[in-house]
Amino acid sequence: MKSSTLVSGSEQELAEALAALRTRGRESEEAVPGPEVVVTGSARPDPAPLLDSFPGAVGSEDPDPIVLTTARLSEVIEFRPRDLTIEVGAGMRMRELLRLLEERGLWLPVSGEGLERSVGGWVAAGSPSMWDSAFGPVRRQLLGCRMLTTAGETLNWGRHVMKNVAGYDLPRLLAGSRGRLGVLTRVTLRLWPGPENTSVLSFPGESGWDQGDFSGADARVIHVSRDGELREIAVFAGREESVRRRRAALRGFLGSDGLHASESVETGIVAPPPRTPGSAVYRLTPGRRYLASTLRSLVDTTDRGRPAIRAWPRSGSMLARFDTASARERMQSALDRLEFRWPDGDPMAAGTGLPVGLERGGPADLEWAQERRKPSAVAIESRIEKVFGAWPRSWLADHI
Amino acid sequence: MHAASRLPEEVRLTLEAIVGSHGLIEDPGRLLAYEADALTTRKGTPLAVVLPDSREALIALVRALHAADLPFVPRGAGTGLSGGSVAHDSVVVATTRLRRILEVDPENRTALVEPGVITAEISAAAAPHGLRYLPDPASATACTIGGNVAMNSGGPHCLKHGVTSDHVLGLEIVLPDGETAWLGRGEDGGLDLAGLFIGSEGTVGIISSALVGLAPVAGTTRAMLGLFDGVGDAGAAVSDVFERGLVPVALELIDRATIEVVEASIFAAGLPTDTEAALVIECEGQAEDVEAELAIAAEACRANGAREVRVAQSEAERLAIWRARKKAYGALGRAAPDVFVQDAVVPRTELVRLLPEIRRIADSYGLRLANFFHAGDGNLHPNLLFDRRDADEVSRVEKAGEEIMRLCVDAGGTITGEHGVGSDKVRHMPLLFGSGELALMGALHHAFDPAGLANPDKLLPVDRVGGSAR
Repeated sequence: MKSSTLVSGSEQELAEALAALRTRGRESEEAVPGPEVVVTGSARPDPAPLLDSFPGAVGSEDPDPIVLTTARLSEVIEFRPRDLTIEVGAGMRMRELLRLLEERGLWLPVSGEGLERSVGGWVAAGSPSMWDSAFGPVRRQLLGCRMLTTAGETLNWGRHVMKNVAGYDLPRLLAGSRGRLGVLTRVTLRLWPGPENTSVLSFPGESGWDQGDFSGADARVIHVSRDGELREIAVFAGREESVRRRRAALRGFLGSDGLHASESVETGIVAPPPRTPGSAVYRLTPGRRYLASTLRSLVDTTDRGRPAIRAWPRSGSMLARFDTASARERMQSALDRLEFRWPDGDPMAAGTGLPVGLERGGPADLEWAQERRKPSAVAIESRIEKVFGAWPRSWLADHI
Repeated sequence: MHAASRLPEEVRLTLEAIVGSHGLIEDPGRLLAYEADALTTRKGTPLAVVLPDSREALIALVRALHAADLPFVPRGAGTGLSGGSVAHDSVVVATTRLRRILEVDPENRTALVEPGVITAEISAAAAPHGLRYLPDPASATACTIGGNVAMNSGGPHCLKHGVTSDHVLGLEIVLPDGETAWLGRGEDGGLDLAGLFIGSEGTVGIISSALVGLAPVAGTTRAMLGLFDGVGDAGAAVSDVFERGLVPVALELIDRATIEVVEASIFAAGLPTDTEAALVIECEGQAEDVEAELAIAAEACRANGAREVRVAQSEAERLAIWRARKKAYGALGRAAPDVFVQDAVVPRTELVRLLPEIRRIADSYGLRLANFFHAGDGNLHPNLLFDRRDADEVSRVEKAGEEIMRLCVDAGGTITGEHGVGSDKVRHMPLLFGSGELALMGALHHAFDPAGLANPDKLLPVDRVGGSAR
């Protein structure tokens, strides 16, 4: 069992804790590395479940991480429904935010695990989702934020405006930064008019997914279960009459191919598979062209211990969850055999072509993903981390 | 010619060896073309202009300038509106000869382009595949993608589709010391590095290529005009459109002063010159959806006092409306020798209150004002007309501009939405940022440009090189 220290409190209290940590770090300058700081929006008084889902983390370099939670920062700071913006504390639960928005006929393009996160966790994770191609990824929804630096200083970025190019684009940098550059304490988000109707049409793959015309759907998902069942899902969101018409058109198209589609107003089918202890989740971005081949190679080569996959063909990305170490190893060797090249024409050193990011996993998973990164990008990133006094990571937790 | 404003002979020889004599401009007469961008009130004289015609030459140039400790100013087509490419005693690195579209990949829906490619050419190259590049700055037929990426440019159709940063999938940067790196959007599990460099205005290096996303050409695109007798009513209709659940692809406002100028020019589109404000609303998608959305937009206009709603009846009519909107800035040249354009963005609902206020400020300084802007985004472009030979008028323009800027910031707005800070708005940065934020941005800059060579005196008001005088 991993021991840990939980820090919860107001923004001021979190800032003081960070400043104190910084001082402690300075006092013990020698060989002792500073403690790992893990930022979470979890309301659990005990962070153990967060860490326990990671047996791999028990062996991590830091036996005593500091877990800092924004759970108590959950208030609405400024809601401007007519301007389609809202500013809330980072610890607000995403479902609570969506409920507030729905009361005013508004919406935020969130799906999958994003629904289970805190608002700050959703921004910090910056994970891909089915809405990316239609509404833009998380970083497009982030208009501004307030943060505590790792030294406890408060900084404010952005405003309640739709466009802003004053200064460096810090909100873009912070979206998806996984809490390494500091603690997000407030976020300002771009809102969208709530769709009158959200529904899905799903049918068994894989016959349709190479050539099917999904242009009428607002999102497209390929779902592969651990036992290898592949389903195609078309998601519709919009005005009632428009959704009905487009759904009927796709249904007709599929019917002519002899496919039977099941229809549902329940979008639960696009939810992520439940978490399992010790699993690793990778984010793969083969692009539109290589999505199908990547998917096939993952499903074919890991016949036992298959991953559970959600793929978004339009944005050319996917999340793959592996439950066992051996499945992970097979995936790694399968990906190393796939042929990709970087847009700048860098030759494909085996295993460096396909961008692979770790969403969740232990030290070995992180190390493998890190090794695949381009050294030039890692060098740029480390310069930025130095400016922020970024926290190190030897494993990655879900950003909840 | 002063010795101080010439390139050192040794450097001249090095640069010439890289770009050849045809790629190096030192003649004072020819340098005049590079003394300003489209914001003609800010000028500077570069030491020289270099025009690399390959990626390798660009990298070699940056290395040579770094070795010689000479500052450089990246420049695209010079259509910028914030004095971002003004050079004082530094070398302009113009990317206009780096204009190859390296690859259009219809299957991936991407295009890999050099920085000097003209923005509209990307869509032209993608068109045979039924694809297009979405951001559309008004200057798209002249500006370069490198400039767009450096400034994070917008345009009318960014309302629904997003700005440049939403359509760049990756880029190669040449850092001020000549090192290069390919930056992605964090798909490798790292930070959104491209996201930080997009909009950095050439202060952390020069973009040597960009991978941009392409989107399918819309099935149906239609535009309509809402004509109003009061600019406040038009502002109210803008908010109402969104409250009815509609996000059009574009929602622009053109005021009477602008319409009068445009209608007297070769870009006349038949807009009635007795209307106080016209809204241009465009919708795209499947034909039935577009029809329904136009009906909603028309309702929003009528409910807020529009005296007339006109739906463009043909593609030619639609294009004429857009030509009028996009060429309005050029047409202002007929009305006055000089134009001072601002770029504040405010929360959309503030338009109703601010538009008459801005008019009042212009009136109080005895200045002529023309408004045409991205109303849907709350991105104002108040244009103050003046004559730079009239010193008194110039000073009134500066004061009025300052007052308008403060008004917008006080209303919760920002100083620039798409034109960039450049040299023009550096002084306004403290309106938005405190010392902590400015120091952090300064530290980020320092991490990539410790010698302070990249586009000096732009974007950040602080002494970027940590106290050392340049």
